[in-house]
Amino acid sequence: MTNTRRNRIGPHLDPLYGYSYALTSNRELSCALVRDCARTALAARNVPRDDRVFKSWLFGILRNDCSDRLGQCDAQPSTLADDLVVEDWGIGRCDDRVINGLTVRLGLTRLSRHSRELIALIDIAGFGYADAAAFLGLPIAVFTTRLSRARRVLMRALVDGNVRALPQAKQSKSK
Amino acid sequence: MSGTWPTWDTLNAYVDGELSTRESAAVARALVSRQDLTEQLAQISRLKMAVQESVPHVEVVLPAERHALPWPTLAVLGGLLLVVLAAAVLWFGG
Repeated sequence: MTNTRRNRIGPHLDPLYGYSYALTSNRELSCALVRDCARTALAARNVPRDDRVFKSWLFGILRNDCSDRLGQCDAQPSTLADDLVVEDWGIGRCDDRVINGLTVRLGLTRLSRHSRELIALIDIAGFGYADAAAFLGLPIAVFTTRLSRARRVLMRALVDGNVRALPQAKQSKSK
Repeated sequence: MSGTWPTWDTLNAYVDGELSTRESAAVARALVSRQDLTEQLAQISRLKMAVQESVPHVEVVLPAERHALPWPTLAVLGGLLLVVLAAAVLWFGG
């Protein structure tokens, strides 16, 4: 039975780590949170049978532990740049030098934990909107709006030039 | 562009595969005549991919399984330990 449970947990380890990293921006803490989450899940007397419920249950364990360790100070949605409009993006500047893994990693740190969580649940953890909204206790319409707003704010942080990866810096030096 | 369909929310849902078949088809039709929408979609897709790439790679493994001994075995081992201790006390103390 334990092996069955281990097999069920295994595929979620990387998404759990990615989600945890998005919340904490700390590799060691993220690994510790995932390990503790797995231990808790392995030791639990009862686990959900349904795979989707099981996944939410796992992420819930990690989320609670993470909140306990980090506190609730940054748990509220950010109002940063809530009034941004799409036309202001500067689309022409938004190429691969601006949007890549490294710049996004830095850019995510500029968002509130709530916004990072919305993005991580969809793009890293692979939740659907309905499951992610239920996970956060939000109506799906509210979740949809907040997710797209969080992406817009992240995009704005990248486009505004406040976040730059090393290759971009090298290019400007060489000019 | 504000106030026109598809909205920014809809475009995000389209990229995330959250629209119904009918809605997706309508967005696809709108894309044909709207270059600005195509660029926005490309950006959302790029951002989505970059978020996935933003997580530093770490090998995450399940914690080793703890093989707890069943209580009857623990009781026997405890009894044996007591016998050994008692024998040691008698041997060295007597």
